[in-house]
Amino acid sequence: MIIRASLLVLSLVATVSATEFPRAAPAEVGLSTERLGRVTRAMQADVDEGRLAGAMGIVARKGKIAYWETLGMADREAGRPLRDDTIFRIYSMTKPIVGVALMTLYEQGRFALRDPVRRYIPELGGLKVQDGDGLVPSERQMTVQDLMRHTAGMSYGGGKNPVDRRFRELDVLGGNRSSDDFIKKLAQLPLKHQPGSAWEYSVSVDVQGRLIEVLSGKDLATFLGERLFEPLDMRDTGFTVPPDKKDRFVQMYSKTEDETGIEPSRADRSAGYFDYESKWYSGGGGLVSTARDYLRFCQMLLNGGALDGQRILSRKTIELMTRDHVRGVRRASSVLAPGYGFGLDFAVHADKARSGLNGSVGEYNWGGLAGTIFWIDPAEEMIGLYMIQMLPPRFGNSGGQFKRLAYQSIDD
Amino acid sequence: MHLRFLLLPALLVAHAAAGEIPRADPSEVGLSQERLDRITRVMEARVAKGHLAGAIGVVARKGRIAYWETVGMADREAGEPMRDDQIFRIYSMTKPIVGVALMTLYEEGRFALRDQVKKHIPELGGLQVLEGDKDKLVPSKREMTVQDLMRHTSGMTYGLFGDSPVDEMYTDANVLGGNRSVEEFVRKLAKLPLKHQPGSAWEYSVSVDVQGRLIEILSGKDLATFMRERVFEPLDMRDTGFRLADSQMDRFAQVYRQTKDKRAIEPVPGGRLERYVEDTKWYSGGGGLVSTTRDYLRFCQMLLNGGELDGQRILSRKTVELMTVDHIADVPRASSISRPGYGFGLDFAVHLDPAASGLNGSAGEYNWGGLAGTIFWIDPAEELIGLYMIQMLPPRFGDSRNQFKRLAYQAIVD
Repeated sequence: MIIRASLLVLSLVATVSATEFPRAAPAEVGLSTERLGRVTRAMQADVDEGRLAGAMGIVARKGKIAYWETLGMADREAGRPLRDDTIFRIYSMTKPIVGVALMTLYEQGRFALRDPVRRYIPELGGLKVQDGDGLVPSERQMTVQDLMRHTAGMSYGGGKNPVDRRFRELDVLGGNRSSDDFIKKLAQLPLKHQPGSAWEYSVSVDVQGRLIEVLSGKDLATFLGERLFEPLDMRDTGFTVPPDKKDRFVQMYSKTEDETGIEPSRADRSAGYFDYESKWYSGGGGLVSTARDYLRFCQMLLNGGALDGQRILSRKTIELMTRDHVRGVRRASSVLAPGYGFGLDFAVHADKARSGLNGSVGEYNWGGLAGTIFWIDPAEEMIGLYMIQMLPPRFGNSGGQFKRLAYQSIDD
Repeated sequence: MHLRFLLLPALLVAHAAAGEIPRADPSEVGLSQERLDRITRVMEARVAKGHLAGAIGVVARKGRIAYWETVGMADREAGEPMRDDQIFRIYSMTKPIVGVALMTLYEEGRFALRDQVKKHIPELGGLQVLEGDKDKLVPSKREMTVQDLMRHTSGMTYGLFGDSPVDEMYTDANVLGGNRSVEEFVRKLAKLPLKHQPGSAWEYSVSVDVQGRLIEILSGKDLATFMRERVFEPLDMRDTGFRLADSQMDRFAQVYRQTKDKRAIEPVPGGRLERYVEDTKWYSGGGGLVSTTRDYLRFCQMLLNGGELDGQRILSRKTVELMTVDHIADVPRASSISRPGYGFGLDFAVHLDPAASGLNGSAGEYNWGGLAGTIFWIDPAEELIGLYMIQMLPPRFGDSRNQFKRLAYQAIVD
């Protein structure tokens, strides 16, 4: 009798710690099965008509998965179908994970958002600002908040500005073996904008990675593993793909030159995911993950910072991260869509009339270079996740379509 | 039979008056013990490093104290540990108490916020203005109002925090110094020009000392007496006042400052004791009080409760609401004491925008602090009160006050 009781307790504990998201019939969580069918038909058409090799779409509401469709192929040429546990390059969907990890240090009192970055990374202290053909001093030091809301004055090297040209010459994000290599190159570049004066998507999340290393004394991969991936059981998320998971790693595609179909991408640089020696962990885009793992990350956020009894952040810190921090700040980059503001490593939906999206104000999100997107909608208790693997240019905006169709399936 | 009935209400009243704010297990009020322990570790580390002699941190939620840590020493050199009932110089945390006391008179219909100050204090009418680097006095475009006094837009200054001609005149006149009455203070102040046109700029100033005088004129009592009758006695703030009794001296904390080499702390010579023991009528409404953690927490809980505590109503909820909305939405800030993301109500700063402040708190939270590093805040949305008591004159080591606040907020887990 006693043994039976103990066993029962043990098995309950085991269930809880290994728990997966419960599934729900759409009607149980205020979604329409019929209307969700529209999501499937749109994804299926993209696959059938050769615009995508495969696609995965997930809609969760009120803590339950009401929709999960996995369609098409992970590697069309090898005849390998897309699976629920396929591993994707999530690129910039790395950023919110790094932001959350950094904020766990904020919650330990290790830094304040308005602290100057140079207090922790002295190399970034004396940067000049490009002004026409010349350089002028910074009017103020960039802060940690600037790094997290993309107002540090840095860029991603994509423009014609002298700073962007120099960025490409230095290959700031390439060939690094550690964050030290990265910071040394970055410190040679002037800023493109005065700190705080403009929103420009930038390498500042890679700088956040370095900040984590400096504050914690651990490399970024170790820190993310200990602070997030282990407690949240994100078992397939990391900067490398282990050899035994290689057969779950999805093929990258691009449009063919004649734009009539897709082909395995020639621009794909996947060697880094199999380089187990490098200590360069790109906080801005280096992670691979699965739909299951990323959904767990999203559900932790929607829950106000905890999942399955593992608390990562306080609700108050998530509230801070998902407010608009760039109200009134000039947008120097088109990456941020109209109607969106920006919090701390998340875009924040501020105005439905301007975005033209049938969503909610307060919804927050981001996406990755290869077309993956996620969003979290506290008002509707909803999470959306869309996983594809296509380097731009892609055919249309299938992620945006997925989001509109997910919202139209709300039926309560 | 009659006797018993008479005794029963008397007992109930006595019980209510002596009721302490109850304690709660953190989990009962949506806080995490494990996360609250982070606060203790940080406070203890600061004491161990010698950056603080001692500190008290308190977090209360939903009317109950979930966290109270008292660490380090009250007087390191004398080997006296910090005690829960330590008495602190609360300096500018005097201001919200004076503001609440003044508003009890507002609630009696004794004045309106838009009343001109000169209506009640004629000496302060017709003041001239010496703006910025100009060398000419100009007339005031309008008279300062009571609201201007309470939201720091009267045009006055402090002298301590600026280097304008008017700030220098304040310093030269030693406007807050000396051994005299609140009335004499106003007489001295009336000889100085304003630094700004009334209503045109937010500048932290001696205007709460003027509120003290306003209370004296409206009530016919000296400020100390009025505060005691209106606030300290009904709220049982038994260790709060402008003067220390002999029996309180052994609980009065030493006040510290950084050493010249900025590596450690040392007691401030004399401990700025005079003002708390001298027998004068100088009651500084802007910074003259001493208090304890318990007493100030009672004041805060009264506010969070919407104006009453233990059956003692001090203000109406509507008046507390008025005091804690932003009164300076479009007013330029002329003082570095104002922080991004904050507005100002009536004798309280009000948190408007966590994105601008960088704090993981709530819009609508209101607060203030004192020169020696004490802070309090009240967060109606989270039903939370924070109180952090140290005795360190600036410059201090780092910003332990805001760190305390961030760490208190991260302990919220509901």
